Amino acid sequence: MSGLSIWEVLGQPPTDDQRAIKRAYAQQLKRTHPEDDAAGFQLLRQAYERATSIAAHAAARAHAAEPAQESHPEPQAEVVEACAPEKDPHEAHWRICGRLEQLLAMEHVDPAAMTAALEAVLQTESMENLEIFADTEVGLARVLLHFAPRGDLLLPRAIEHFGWYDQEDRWDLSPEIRGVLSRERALAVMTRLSDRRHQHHVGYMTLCAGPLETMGFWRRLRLGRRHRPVAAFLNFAVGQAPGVLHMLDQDVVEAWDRRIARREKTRQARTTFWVFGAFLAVVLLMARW
Amino acid sequence: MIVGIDLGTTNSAIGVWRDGEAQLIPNSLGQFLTPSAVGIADDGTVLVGMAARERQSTHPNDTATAFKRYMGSQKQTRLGQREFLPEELSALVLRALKADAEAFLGEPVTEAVIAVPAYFNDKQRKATRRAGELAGFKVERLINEPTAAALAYGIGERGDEVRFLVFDLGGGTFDVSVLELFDGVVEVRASAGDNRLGGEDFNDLLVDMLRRRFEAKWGEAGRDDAALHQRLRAAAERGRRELSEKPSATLSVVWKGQAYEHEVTAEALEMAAEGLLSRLRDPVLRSLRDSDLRIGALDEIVLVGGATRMPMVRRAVTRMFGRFPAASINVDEAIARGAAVQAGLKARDAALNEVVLTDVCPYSLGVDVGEHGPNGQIRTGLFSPVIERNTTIPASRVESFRTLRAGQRQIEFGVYQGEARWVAENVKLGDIVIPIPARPAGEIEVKCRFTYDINGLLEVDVEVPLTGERRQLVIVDEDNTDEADVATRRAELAQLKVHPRDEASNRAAMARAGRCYEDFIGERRDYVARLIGQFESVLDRQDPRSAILARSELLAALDQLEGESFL
Repeated sequence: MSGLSIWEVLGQPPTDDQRAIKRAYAQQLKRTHPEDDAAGFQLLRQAYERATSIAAHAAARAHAAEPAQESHPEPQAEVVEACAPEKDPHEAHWRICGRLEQLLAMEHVDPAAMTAALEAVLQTESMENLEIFADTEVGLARVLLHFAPRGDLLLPRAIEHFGWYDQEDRWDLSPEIRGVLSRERALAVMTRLSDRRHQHHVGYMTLCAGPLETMGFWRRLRLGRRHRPVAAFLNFAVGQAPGVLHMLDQDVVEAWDRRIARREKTRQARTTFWVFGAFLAVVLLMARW
Repeated sequence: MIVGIDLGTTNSAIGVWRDGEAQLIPNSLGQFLTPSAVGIADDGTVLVGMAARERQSTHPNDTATAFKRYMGSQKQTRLGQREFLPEELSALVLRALKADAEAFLGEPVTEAVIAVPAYFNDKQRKATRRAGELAGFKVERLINEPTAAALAYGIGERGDEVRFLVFDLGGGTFDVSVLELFDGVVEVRASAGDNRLGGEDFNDLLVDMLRRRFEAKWGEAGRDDAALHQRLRAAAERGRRELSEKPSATLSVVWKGQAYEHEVTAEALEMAAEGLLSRLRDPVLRSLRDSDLRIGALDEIVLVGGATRMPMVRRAVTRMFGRFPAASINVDEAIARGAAVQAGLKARDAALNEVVLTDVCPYSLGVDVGEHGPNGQIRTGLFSPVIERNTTIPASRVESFRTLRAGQRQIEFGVYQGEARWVAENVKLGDIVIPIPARPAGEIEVKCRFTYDINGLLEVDVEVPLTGERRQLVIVDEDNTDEADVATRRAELAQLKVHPRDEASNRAAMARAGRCYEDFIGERRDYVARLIGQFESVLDRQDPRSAILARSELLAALDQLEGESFL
């Protein structure tokens, strides 16, 4: 890189005026034509992009410095925030989105009502509009993750509607949507795990039962001996369904991890003890003979 | 003189910058659009354009169309005695256009700017370039089609800062571009697309409808009959155009001497096309996201491409953007006009001297990397972009990578192009290996620089700062870059007998009459047969003037019979 500052490259004193930056860039561009001077153009382009982003930040700061018109009600109201405050032709749409969010925030909700609320969001006329569609898509993914597991029953419908599985292999998929997809995958594995015939059913159910310490004596005695199936399940989950691990109670998983490690150690110690004992017995016998 | 060419999936056109404006050049039939169709006549000569298109339903095995979809692949099409690559078929179309331009301008034309879909990858671009060379052009530049469309919509005629989106739905491809114009700069901000979506997909819906309707009658034989398929496609194309103007249309085909008719409403087609219409959304969204613009910041939405004539497409666009799109230039001609503008720019014509165009790289370029998985294993084959798509070119970017394993002695970078998260689904461009000293994992840093130039040439430089070791890879196409090979193939193509240009109109008229003969039955078929007989007898007299007269009479009679011919 040359030692020139971006403003020197642009031939323009530092400014936050986007229009002035553009004009300066256009003027310099005539001198460093991208076809004739690739290196010169790249330098100019870099300066231009830097200057534009500085100006954009300055504008954002100036905007933020203005007194806020509305107080933010709650941190979860992200979907609602995305819309413009006044005279929005899509206000009705955002109201419907808000209703779904309220339902998700409540403790006990009828699943049918929740499904209907999602359907209402997907079917508004505003969803024909590209931007509304895009904002709703990401907003919905975020809200569904935020209120998990309450929104879990809505995941398949949302995934199908927006075709998220088709987008999954893109490197620039938004993290919210990737999160929804991995959650849905994990849920599917969990459904299979709760089937008695699944080979890791027992191990999985043991982990789902909660911490051993809080259980009654007999139950604790029964579940507490399931080291082997739990270990097998954990092995399977780490390799093939890491999403499932995240959804279990982390304390329980860790407690079992420790139990399994401890048991492994005692088993080793026991083996060593017997081998050594047998050896000693043989030596003693031989000595007496 | 540099010409600008739109080499389309269904139609092509050629233009030139003259007298301070872009002018389209008519072909020998007096039309601006030349069908991208190549055929072999019964006497073994090559037919290009309308004459080939008209013979498609009567001679499906001797006609090739829509070969642009396979550009860059090794798919062979057999026509007569010879197999053709897509680029060779394209070369034949380009050669016909070249002849038209030379006749029109009265001077040899050797340099051209050719428009390609923004979504064409490196291989497809190079194949297009070779097609130009095979046709005897020096290809000065490949220009992205949406960029061309934007150029056609006027430089300097707008206010001082204009942003707009070009929505180009052609015969076979869909392209979206966001552009900005200011102070004599035309800047492409982003482009995105779907190279498997176009007007032909809508035709296929109609073909499917017809097939379902007459399944019982056609049975097995109908499924594999190439002639029937071509006839269905032609009927579908006609029907789709009719449905753009009327609420319903009757699709009719003749097969084995029997006529089949089926009435379709515009509503039914729109219902069937719901899936196709929803595929329009994703590229638009992506281009907006990449260009960092809201819809509100766009000054105009510009429609290009024949398929945007369909009212349902226009309605879908209007709903997506919440406003009406502009379509003031003929949507079929915009790209050729724009290519001509670019040709003028390239020649640094005085009137355009003030304009600089900057374009973007339409796809991401990067390397394969590994990462530590959740359980400590190493996952490899992830794609890490170095130059992200829609970066203004020429561009140069550096990324740093670190070793994953202890004691690694070398790093191998696979260079890929695409948007998939896993490199296996992206296009591999090459490999580069660099030796490194053995150290613990993560201790060795390697800098990887990608330089992508304005002609799509990619240079990869890797460097190990610790040792100063460097390696360079210049990505050139592996297959058929051989200059001598291009020359021999050009000679081969030149040896193919092509119909004399001045005979093309008679050929096209005869081909159309032949198709009509097959399309009709009964009284009307007899009438067409009579017309053909009369026309042939006039041609036999070898009198050019009476031939012209007879031809226009024949065409007028056919127009009356089946409605005006379409492109």
